[in-house]
Amino acid sequence: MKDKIHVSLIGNPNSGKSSLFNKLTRLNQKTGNFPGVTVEKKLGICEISKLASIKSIEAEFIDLPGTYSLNPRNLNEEICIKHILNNNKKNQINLIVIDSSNIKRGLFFASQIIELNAPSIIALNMIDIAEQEGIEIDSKLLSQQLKTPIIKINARKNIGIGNLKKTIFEIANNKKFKEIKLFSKKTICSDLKFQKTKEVLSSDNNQLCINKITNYRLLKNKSEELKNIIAKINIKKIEAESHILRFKYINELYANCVKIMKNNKILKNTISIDKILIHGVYGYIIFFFILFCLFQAIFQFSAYPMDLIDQFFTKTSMIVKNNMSDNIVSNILSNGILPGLGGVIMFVPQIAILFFILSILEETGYMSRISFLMDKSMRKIGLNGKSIIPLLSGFACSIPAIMSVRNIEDKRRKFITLLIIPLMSCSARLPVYTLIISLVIPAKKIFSIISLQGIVFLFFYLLGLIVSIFIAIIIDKTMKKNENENKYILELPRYKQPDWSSVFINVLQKIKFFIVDVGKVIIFVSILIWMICSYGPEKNNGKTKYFSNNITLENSYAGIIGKKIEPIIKPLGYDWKIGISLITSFAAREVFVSTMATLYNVDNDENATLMQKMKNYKNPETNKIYFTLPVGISILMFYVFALQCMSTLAVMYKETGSWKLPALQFILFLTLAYLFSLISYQLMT
Amino acid sequence: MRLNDLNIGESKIIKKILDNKLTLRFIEMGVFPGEKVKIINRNNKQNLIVIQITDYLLCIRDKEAKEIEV
Repeated sequence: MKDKIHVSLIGNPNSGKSSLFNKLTRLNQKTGNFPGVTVEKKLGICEISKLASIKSIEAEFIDLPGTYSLNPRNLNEEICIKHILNNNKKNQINLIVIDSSNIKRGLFFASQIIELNAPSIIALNMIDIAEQEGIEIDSKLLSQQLKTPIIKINARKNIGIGNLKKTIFEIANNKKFKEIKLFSKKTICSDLKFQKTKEVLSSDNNQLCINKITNYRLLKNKSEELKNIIAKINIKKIEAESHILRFKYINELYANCVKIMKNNKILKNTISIDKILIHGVYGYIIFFFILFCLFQAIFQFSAYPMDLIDQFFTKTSMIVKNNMSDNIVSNILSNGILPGLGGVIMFVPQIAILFFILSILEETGYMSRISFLMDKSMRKIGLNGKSIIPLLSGFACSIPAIMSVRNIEDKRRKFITLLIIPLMSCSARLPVYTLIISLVIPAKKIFSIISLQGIVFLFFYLLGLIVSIFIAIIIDKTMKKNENENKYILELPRYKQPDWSSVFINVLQKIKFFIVDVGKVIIFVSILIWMICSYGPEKNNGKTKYFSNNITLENSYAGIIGKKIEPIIKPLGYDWKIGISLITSFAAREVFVSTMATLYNVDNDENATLMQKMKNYKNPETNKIYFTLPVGISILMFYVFALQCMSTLAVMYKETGSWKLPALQFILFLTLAYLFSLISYQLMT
Repeated sequence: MRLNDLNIGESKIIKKILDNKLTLRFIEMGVFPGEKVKIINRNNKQNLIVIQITDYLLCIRDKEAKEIEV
């Protein structure tokens, strides 16, 4: 049996951790979320052996979120620290990644990790940039001082990776682990109360104890005894003292081991580029241009491949239908599974395009500039500077938008962003808007240039946006604030060329996550919807057959539900036909149009389009035209707000790890939809 | 003098961090008494200042810059 070792990749944000992770594990990766939170969890496997010797071991790498120290300031850092402090697995190795051109700050964090209870290795990444910048690092001396192996690497160009694997192998085979104390912390550690905590934690490791005390709330094994002692200790003082001592120690270490020969060339370039990119005027123009391109790309470029995918699945199910005998298997396959699968794969082009662009923005370092440009304005409405990307993407499709929320670090702003994304009018609402607007709004021009239909269109797009801002502000005002959130220190990393292999691996991982994890839920629900639409009770010679498929949509279970809810939706001006469409369009909003086509028998009469049929349709009770302006506006109101999309709910469930938020959204937005439709209809009639 | 009083391009040595609550955060990010700090950029609309510490760029708010004595 092979020994499995666990390697945690730890380091500052922008230290090239993910690049290294991608180089080590390639496509043997599994991405998901840490339980209960939308923070990306990446696991990967790599076989490690020493110089092609006989015995190789399996190493499982985990890419932890970037962190600056062991004191968490946001959700991502909390996750990372929680993982490090609660790690009791055997064969654990901490692999600390440091950006060599930013070595001082990296060493600060590294020295905290080295003193914990697992063997460490330091990887000095981006050694090429450090050399270009004229930074000379005496890694031998540094390694001696830190009592830790240090490997110089360049993850992007695959330099030093073999060496790193060899070192991991050696450490994994060296069973003995001795605690490392880098510098004496007499002032703190002589504190009697602190000594007591060491007894309770049954550990002699000062650093581990300090970190367990200061991060008490993140510990898995809590005890009353420890809690009581901690209550008596001045944690802030201990933290500050240990930080100051540590910084002095690092300063000395830095002075001994690092020489700077030249001036920072790359940094100077970054500063000059920033003069334009974060400029008070040009910066915003460029940023909004980038947003415009991003939106165009997910909206336009994805249209063609999405069309192809749609056609492919429609044709395949036709072939299945025509070539297989008419039984339940072929029925499920051609009407349930294949369209469901198509409905999943349909989102892939949008996800791929969005994450391709986002990975580039992230890799080049531009993402931090977006926070810089937008943070204050977005903060006013309870959001984060980065929220603008998911919200804008939401106008194309909620699915990739929800997945892109992962790179917001702040818990409450992440929550608010996730909550309001479905209110952005996505492209699936377009067919519904188009049909209803052209039905009830005359194609007139105001001042002979502005189209009236266009204005109504714009109004409904803005309505969702404005209401979502109101919701964000209300929630921001009522939610409890965390004191850490008010401290704003952001690093602006150097501009870099994107690492293309990392970009592609990222995109592939996102697609894989969506198809494998979210796809299951979507296919399940779409089969369910197909079942209630094509089966219904049938009375035959006094006997009732409950699963007859020899029925029309009107008599299916969906039809029965649509008719049953008629009293509820009547105040909105809807009849049972719209009721059925509301139910079927839960599969996807645009299904509203095809359901209406079925109910109005468009297929049987080739001379009339759905538009004409609906236009001429008269209310059987009053014998007047049914689709009047109030009815049309009421339907539009409903579609602006209602979360009529099971794929959105499925991806929300997978991202947050529970049904709580999707259920809340579903009910909240359904209520809003009902109220807005009710008020508008009642006011207009 | 406080950090937010400096103009773009000026650099000074950090003397003291006045707000104790901020000390920890600043130390972790390398903002420590004795370090040289330079103002690189500011955005008055967002109340933000970009500073250079040793070899990297940080962005902080005016409010926090006021707590750094130089």
